[in-house]
Amino acid sequence: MPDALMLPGLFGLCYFAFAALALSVERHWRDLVESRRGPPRRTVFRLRLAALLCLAAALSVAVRHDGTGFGLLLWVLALSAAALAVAATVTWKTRSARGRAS
Amino acid sequence: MTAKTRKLISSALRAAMLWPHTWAGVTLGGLLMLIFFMGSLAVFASEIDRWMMPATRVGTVETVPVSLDHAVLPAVEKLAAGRTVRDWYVQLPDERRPVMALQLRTETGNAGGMATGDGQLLPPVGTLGATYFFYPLHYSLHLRAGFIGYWIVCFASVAMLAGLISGVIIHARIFKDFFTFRSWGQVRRSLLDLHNLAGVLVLPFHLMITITGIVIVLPIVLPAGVQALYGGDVRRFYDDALGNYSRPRSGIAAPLAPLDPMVAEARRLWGGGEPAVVFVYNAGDAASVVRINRALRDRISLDVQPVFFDGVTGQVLKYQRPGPVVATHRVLSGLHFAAFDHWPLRWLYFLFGLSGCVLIGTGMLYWMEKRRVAHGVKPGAGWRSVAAIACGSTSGLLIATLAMMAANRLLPAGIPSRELVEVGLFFVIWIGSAVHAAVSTRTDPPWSEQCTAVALLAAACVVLNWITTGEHPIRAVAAADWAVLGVDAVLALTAAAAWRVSRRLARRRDPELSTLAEVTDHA
Repeated sequence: MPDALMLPGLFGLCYFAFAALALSVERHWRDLVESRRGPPRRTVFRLRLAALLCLAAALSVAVRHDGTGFGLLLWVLALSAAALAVAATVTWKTRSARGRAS
Repeated sequence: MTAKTRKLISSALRAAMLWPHTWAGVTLGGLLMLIFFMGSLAVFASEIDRWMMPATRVGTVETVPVSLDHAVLPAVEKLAAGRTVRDWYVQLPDERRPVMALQLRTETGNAGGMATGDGQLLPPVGTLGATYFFYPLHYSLHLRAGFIGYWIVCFASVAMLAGLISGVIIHARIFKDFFTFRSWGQVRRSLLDLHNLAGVLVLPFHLMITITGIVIVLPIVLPAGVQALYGGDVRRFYDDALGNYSRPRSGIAAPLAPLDPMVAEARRLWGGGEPAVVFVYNAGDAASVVRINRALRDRISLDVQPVFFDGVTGQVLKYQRPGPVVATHRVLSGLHFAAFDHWPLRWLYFLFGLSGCVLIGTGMLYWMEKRRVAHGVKPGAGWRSVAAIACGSTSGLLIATLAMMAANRLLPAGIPSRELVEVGLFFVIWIGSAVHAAVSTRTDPPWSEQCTAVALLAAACVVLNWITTGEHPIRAVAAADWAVLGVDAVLALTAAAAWRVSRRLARRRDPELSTLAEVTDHA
C-alpha cells in the first residue's frame, strides 16, 4: 500500500468501525435513523460484524506498514481518535436533526 | 449492560468509588492539569525550542555525519575558554534539532552552548526553552532536591490511576453512552458527557501514559530494592541495571584518543543506528571514559545501548545488553517518552495529552456546577477555592505559558540571566492569574476575562515571532521550517478558539441561574 494512503486508510477504517458501532446503540439509531423503533437485531449483528472486520483490517494495515510495535501503538491510539471523531459526528448530526424537528 | 455485570458492580460499590474519585479530582486536579499540559508540550519540545531559540533555526541538517574530532572538540575548547574541562557531552544534530547542544563541567563551573554541525558556536540562546523548562516541570516540578518533585508527581499519577479506574466503575452506562455528547441543554450534563467521553474513549492512552509514567520513576519512589542491594546508591544501581560504567579520576594527565573511530566502532556494535549523545568523563585524565548513546528514532524502547570506551586507548570498556526486566522497563519508559520519529504518533500523543487536560478540567467544572446546585447562588469558601484552582490551572496556566513565550520574543538578548527572568515571569504571571481568579470569583471564575487574555497573548506570540525574527508563515513554508510554522499554527488556533470562547462566555452572563433555581426547587 502506498505510504500516503496508509494513515487515511487506517483512520477511515477505524472511523467506519465506530460509526457502525454507534448505529448499533439504540439511542443513536433512534436519533439518526428511525425515531419510532430501535435497530432490528439482525441489523445490530451485521453492524457489529462490519465493525469487527474494519477493526481487524485497520490493525493489519497498521502492523504491516509500521511493524508490530509501532503498528499496535498506532492502532490503539487511532481507535481513540476515530471514536472521538464518531462521537463528534453523532453530536453534530443529532443536533441538526433536533434543530429540524423543533 | 448485561445482568451479570450489573451484579458485579453494585450501586454500593459505585457509591464507595465516588468519594475518592471526587476528592482526588478536586484536590489534585490542578496539579494533574499542570502535569498533563506540560507533558503535552514536551511532546513537541524540540519544535518549541526552535521557536524560542531563533538562532538555532539553521535549516535542515546536512546529511554528512558530524566529525567529533574536527567539529565538536574545537567547539568544546572555545566554550571552555581556557578553563580545565572535567566532563562534557554533546547531543549531536538530528532532524528535529539541526544544531548540536554542548554541556561542559569545568573546574570553576558549568558552561553550555549550541553549535552548528560544522562546529560554529552560536550566540547564547538566553532561554531554557521547552526542553529545560516545560519538560522538567512535567516530571519534577523543578523541585530536584531530594527528588521531592518526583515524589509529588508520582503521588499525583497514582491518584490519576485511581481516578481512572474508579471513574470506569462509577460510570453506570459505559456502552450506552459510549458516543454520547449532548452539547445542548444543561451545562452540567454536557460537562459530564464530555468528561465521560474524554475518559472512556481515550482510556487506553490515559492508562498507558499514567502507568508508564509511574514505572519510569519506580527506582526513585520505591527505593527498597536499591536500599537493600546497593546501600541506597542509585548511581551504582543504574550502572548495573542499564550497563553504565564509571570510574574516578586518576590525576594523571593523558591525551584523548580520536573520537571518530570510537563512533565507527559503536556503529558496528549496534549493527546500524546513529549516535545521538557522546559523553567524555574525566577529560584529559588517564582514567577518561567516552560513552556513546544510540539514537532512539527507530524504536519504541528507550534503550540507548551505551558503549563505553577507554578515552586514552580507545578500547571498548563495556557494552552490556540489558536483562529482560530492564529491557521491559526501557520499553515501558519509551512508550511514555515517545522519543521515536513517528509524526502521526507524536500528534496523537499531543492531542490525547490535551484530552487528559479536558478530562481533568471538565471533572472540576462538573463538580463546581453540581455544588452550585447544592449550595445555591452563594458559594462557600471551599467552592471558591476549587473554582480559583480550576481557573488558575487552566486559563491561568495557558496565560503564564504564553506570557513566557511572548517575553522570550520581547526581552533583549543582552540582559543578565535572561533565562531566569523568563522563568520568573512565568511563575509571577501564573500566581497573578490564580490570585485574580480567586479574588474575582463571584458566581463564576473570571473565565471570559482570562480567555480574552489567552487569545490576545497567543496572537501576540505569533506577531512577535514574525516581527522579531522576520519569519512569517510564507517564509517558513518556503524554507520548509515546519517546526516554527507548526508552533505558530497551534498558537493561532489557540488564539482563535480562546477568542470565540471568551465572546460566548461574555454574552452568557450569570449562566445557570435560571436552571439553577429550577433544580434547587426540586432538591
